[in-house]
Amino acid sequence: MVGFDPTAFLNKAVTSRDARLLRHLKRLTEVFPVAALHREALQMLGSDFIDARERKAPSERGCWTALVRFGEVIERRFGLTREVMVYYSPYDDLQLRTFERLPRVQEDQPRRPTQDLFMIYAPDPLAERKLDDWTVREPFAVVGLPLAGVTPAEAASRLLAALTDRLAARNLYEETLPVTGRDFFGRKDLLISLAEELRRGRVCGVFGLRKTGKTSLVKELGRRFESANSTKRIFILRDLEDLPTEPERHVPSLLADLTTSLLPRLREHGLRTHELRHLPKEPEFGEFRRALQATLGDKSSADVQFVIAFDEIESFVGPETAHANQRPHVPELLGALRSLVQENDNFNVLISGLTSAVLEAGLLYGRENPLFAWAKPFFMPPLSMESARDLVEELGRRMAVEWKPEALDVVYSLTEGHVFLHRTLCARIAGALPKDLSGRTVTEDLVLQCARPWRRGIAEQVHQMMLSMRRFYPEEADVLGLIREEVLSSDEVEEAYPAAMNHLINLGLIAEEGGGFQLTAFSRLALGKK
Amino acid sequence: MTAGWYADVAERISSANYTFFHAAALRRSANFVDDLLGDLRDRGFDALLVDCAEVLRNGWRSALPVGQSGNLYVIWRPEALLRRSDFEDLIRQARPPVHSALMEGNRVVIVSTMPQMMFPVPVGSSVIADAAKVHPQPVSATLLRRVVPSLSSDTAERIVLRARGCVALAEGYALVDRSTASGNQKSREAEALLLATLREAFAELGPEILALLEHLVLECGVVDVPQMDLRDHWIAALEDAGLATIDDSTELVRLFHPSWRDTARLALSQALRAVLQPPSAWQKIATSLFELERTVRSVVSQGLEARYGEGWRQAGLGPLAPKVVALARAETQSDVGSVADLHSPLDWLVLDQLFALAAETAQHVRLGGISSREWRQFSERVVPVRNRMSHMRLPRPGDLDEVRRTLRILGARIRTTSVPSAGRQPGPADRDLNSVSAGAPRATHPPGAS
Repeated sequence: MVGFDPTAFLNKAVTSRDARLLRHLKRLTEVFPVAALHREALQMLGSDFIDARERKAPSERGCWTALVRFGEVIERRFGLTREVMVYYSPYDDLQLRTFERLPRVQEDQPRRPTQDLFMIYAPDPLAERKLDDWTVREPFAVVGLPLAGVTPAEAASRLLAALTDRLAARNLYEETLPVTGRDFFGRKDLLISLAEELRRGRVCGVFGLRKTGKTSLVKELGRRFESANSTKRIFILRDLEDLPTEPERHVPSLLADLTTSLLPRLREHGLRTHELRHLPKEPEFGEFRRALQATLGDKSSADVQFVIAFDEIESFVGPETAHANQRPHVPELLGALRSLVQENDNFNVLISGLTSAVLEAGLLYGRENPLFAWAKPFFMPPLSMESARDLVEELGRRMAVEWKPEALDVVYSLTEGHVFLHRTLCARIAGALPKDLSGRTVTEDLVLQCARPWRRGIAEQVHQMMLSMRRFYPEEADVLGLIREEVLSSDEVEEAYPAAMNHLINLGLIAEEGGGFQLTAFSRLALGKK
Repeated sequence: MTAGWYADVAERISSANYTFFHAAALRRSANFVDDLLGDLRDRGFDALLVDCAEVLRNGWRSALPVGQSGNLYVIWRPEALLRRSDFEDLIRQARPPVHSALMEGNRVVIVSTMPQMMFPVPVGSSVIADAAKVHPQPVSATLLRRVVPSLSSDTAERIVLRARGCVALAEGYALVDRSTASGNQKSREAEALLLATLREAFAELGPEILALLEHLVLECGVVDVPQMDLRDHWIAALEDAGLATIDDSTELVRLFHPSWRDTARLALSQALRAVLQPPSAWQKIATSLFELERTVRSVVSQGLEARYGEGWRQAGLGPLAPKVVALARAETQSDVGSVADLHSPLDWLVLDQLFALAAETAQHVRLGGISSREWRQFSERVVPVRNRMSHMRLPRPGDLDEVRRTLRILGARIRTTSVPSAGRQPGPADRDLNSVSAGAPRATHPPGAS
């Protein structure tokens, strides 16, 4: 095939020589002669099979799996860090159920392969077309291995093109769900501080505007918290957005839900469940508190750390916290949580949301706020330049995208590390790239070309984010306008609205610079040109 | 065989798992929902329609059941929820099931006849605002011929050009073209189709953008607007609605195709006439104006008192005094003899009179730390807003910001300045507030900013 150069893949090429493996591969090629062609093609790509085995389930009679370890060139190009599983099917009519089975099949492999990319072979002339159709339904990509009748070089070239095509069809920057693990980037300092505070038994709040990655941060914190000592730590995250419409039903619903979330975890750890199990369907404060206290205080829980995290706290607290007697259950629940934390060294609470008023307001619905000046607020920082670069390059590799260093600098100057701006700009750029591997390098010019359409593409979302900010921080929103327009001097604004200025800085909407205040990239986008 | 009108939308959705498609009137085919679902299925999606009218009856959990994967949920007409008083709760409650569906390997596209920016922001996150936008591509002559194979390529090119690539018009014009009616009759039918579609497209934009278009198109006669003068979210909504094209080389936004201009003006006028409910900003502006006007009255009365002492009512109002007395007599207090009898004579001044009095008073005493020039500039910027409110006209985008901004400036000065006292204020008398904008289109402000 034109343009295919096997010498480009020789660096740190993989070659399997293990005698047992070679015997298995021999059997594979006896059943699927085309596997020999595949191996030759893989070797031309500096890669090889490292495992092959027959499927044992009756429903998979005649099927085999193999694991491919790609050479360094391919791994780096496509951001692969694990082997990729190949599924061999002898049937000439590739079935959807075979395709859907792949994630389950990979769980039986001797080594855990890449979870979002598979390769498949079936002697079905329509396999490619079918894979095109089915792939849009699933969160994983499947690449068809070449059919027999081509040269190894052609097979290698086709495999490379198919990999590029499939991976390039994804836009991993366009992530709208919370991310954890290898998809989570940056915020190391904040994670360390939060983990430290939780260990010390101090209630914390994580606050930030919408789409700044709060939920991802809390989930990642929970993941790290538990994985550091999975037998001695329990982290429960409760999204408060699906609370019932009627505020008076919030607490019974929340407590019932917490009980349901806690019980399986307690059983898993062999901890006391008796009192929680016998709670009524919709328990009251006192009942829940006593039941949880029984678990926390039990000697089996002595060295187990419990954290309950409440995300989207404003859904529970409500926007109008100054209105007396509207939601008396809010300070009551917060008070109950505070006393549980104070009485139990092994229990803590984390809160996250848009508004820090839940920790900063002296009064909540006419009563003293139990968390006032007691819990510690943290605000979501932007991504550092280094973390932003990691995010862009690492996700880019998984889509066969390369970035010129100057392009990365321009992206950062446009977004200043605001995670929503950063991801959406990169998504716009990645969407503008051709699928051809040779054209998937991002240059400074391309970033600049994409900047305007990107700005317009997210303008309605940014506008909504600002409306949401205004809802909880009305004075801050107005003060931000004054700073943008430079109607008043920095000193005047700071003197007149000190608390608002503090919030604007914490929320990443303004930054101190040269003795004055400047709008950040997000504010400039949200408020428009001056 | 599917129509293919939305093949580009389906392709875009294939690279993103959570999207919002603003299917405005100009973008919708006659059988929109069927055509969209057909194109999505043709792309390989297991597309399932989630009609929000159904959600109202059975809830989100029934619409987006747990344990499913590989589906594309097409959430259709979320604007149906807007009519409900519990809209915020319904949107808030959508997030967990939508997230569960996405995490289980499904995709979600929200399809609305309204722009994303028109949906109110709930407490917490919004499933509508969080979704990435799908921007539809213009219909090509090739696509039109695939849908209507009997069209010649010349005719298809002509129709697509006239329709400006909008599905609704291209499909409708093709139908008109194939009818057996006379040429004149076909022209009238095409014109009627354009008028009806544009009227619907305008109505779907909502009062904020309608008011902007009223100002630009009907009052200022402008259709080519510099991008600098429009906020990005207005441009985005207009472009997605098929009502604007953007030229980045000239930095202009062109509202409507020149051939649509007269029809568009008529359609816009009809859409404006049909707005009978107050927009959400109206109440907020009224609240802020109340606070602003009362604050100014308070500052001015203190200033007059500082200047004239106890006799400020008679001495301070000058030629306005007889008017104030006449108004008070006519409305509430027939026995009023002079302004001295009124406990709060400034209540009878309209806002421009009040600002003028403030400007005059500020030449003699410290008045909230605001200079005469600034008081006049406040007047130029706020009085038109108040006039629009008192005449029950649609508030313009930026009106609310303008009033709030003025309030905050006043607040800042009052907080940082001592109470009014005799003697000319040393403050920043030459400060020029006209160099700033609160978001209204500046280049098109008529002289005097009325």
